[in-house]
Amino acid sequence: MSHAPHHHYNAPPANKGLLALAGVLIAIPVVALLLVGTYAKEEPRLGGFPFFIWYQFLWVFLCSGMTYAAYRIVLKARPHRPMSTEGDEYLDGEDDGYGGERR
Amino acid sequence: MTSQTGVNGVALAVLIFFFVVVAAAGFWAARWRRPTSMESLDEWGLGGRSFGTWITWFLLGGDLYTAYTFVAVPAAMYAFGAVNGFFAVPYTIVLYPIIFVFMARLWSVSHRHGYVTPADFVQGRSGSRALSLAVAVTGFLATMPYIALQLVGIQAVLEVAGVGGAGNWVAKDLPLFVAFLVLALYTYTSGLRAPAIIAFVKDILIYLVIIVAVIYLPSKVGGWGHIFDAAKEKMTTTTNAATGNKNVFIPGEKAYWAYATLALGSALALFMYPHSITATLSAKSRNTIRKNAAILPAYSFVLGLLALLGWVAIAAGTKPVGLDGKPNAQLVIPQLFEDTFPSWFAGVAFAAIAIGALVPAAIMSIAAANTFTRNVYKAWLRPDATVEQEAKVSKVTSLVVKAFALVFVLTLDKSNAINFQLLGGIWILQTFPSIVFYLYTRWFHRRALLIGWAVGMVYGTIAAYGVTNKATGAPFAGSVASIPVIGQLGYIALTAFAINVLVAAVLTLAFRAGKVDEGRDETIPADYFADAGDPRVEKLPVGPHETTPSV
Repeated sequence: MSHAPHHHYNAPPANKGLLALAGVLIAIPVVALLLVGTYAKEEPRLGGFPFFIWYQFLWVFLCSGMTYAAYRIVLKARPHRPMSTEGDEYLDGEDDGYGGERR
Repeated sequence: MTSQTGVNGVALAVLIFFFVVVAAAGFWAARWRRPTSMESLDEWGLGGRSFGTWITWFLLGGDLYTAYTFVAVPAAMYAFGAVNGFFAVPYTIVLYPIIFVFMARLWSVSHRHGYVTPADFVQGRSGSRALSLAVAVTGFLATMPYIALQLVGIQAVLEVAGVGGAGNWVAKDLPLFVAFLVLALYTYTSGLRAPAIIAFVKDILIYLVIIVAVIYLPSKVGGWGHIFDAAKEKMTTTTNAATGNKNVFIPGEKAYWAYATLALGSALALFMYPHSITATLSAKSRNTIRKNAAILPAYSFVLGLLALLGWVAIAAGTKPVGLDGKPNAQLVIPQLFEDTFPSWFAGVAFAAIAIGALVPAAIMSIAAANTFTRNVYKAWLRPDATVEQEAKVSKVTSLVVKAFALVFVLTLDKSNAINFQLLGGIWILQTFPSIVFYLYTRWFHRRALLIGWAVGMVYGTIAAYGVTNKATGAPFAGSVASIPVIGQLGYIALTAFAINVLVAAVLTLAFRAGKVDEGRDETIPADYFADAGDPRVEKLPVGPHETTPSV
């Protein structure tokens, strides 16, 4: 069986700093909402709404915005690299010498 | 305000009108983006893997925010308050950052290898038939009661409209039976395309009804300030008979852990359900799901408003009483609509909820059928099944699954479906390590994951059984229990998940030290970044003697 070069074995290269930034943007809403003690109070009310209620509604929008920002960042951080069918060479059971983690 | 009895003719006529419209749309869907052949799971079960950002938005929105959610969340707010009801809001907010992280990887590897179900991926990644079967069976079991509960959503609407409830069984159950039969038939012919089309109608109706409700209703009952005062008054003076705890207006210190773990555990679990993954894999590109993570929170906003309608009902003095004359909190939202809206608009609102049941029921039955076909029928019974045979088996299974759900709801007490749904949520989270950890690393040993899964399932089931109803003594009275070590009340699913991961990690070290066979991984790192246009990996035919041994 022929062995074409395995150019696409590993993940495409990425800008680690940008990926980390996207990770932080994603983590902020999760952490903020899990800290229930920071917002489980009635005052100040806003238009009759207790703080507990309007604060969580506010996070719907903040979270959506942060997720969209993270999306734009990951697109930049790791541009898509087209693939071919040659990934299936792996089925030969041969190592490709590219050092991919394989357990 | 007194609740009306008897049939609400105008509302019922509007409801039937919308039902006929969506039924027609469901059958027509088979011609929508018509494929050359419907006879494959890629077409029937995943809509040709071709849905763009907006179709996916409607489809996932229609899929995840089910009729049962629309009925149960405000009912919980009305009866028990914020911990039982409003946790749905942080749950569906933190959901999206979480799925943003890993669902694109699952889409990519499934695109490369043609996976249809999460268990397909686990099989390919771990080479373990046993682990794949565990994931498949868990998904199947967790989905069944969820389908049954969609029927409960339709029943609630029909009951308030004056149909069903008391009387002989034909009058009582026939409308539900007809609704489900029609649903089963168009799902059979059109596959995932049917709920994709109907989701447009459902979601638009839901947005319309909720927006009208939150603008129109508060002015009728004295404004939002008064609504929250009335809710506070009720919540601080009443007790949850089942748990013996006080009801909750705003969570006190003792409820912080419960509120946070319910939100996080539910968010981690939701995209382990086969129906969520089915809707995700039907997207046409890797980025469709990531874009959707940013725009799906629109539904969370609406869900939050809907939850507040439970408190609006308190201020409005809504009396949810079933046709059998007993109070039933599940009827509070349909009852509020019937009491306060003109009949014709109450009909629109009923239609929104009833159609809201049809979309998830269709997708869930397709997902359960695909799981059976791929991971039981093809994996264990007929390894040489062709794609046409797979489609055939899946279509028939979708009928069986719906028939089973109908029998379940009509013959057993509703509380059985609710108990199983509660258990299903705990169970499905136990597949998270096998699916999500595997998307990133093969560090965990496949046998360790299997044993961790089993320990999590057993712990979660026993812990849930142990939550007894203080008033009746019945088991499965709730989904929170004391967390070992921490000592606070927390969501059982998340505790079981932590034990599951701990067991899997420790046993991984043991199996590795013992050099136990790690199985063969058919994926490569680059597969997790593939996008539309990248070709599918061509699988070499594997003879029966070469299949990976099960663990």
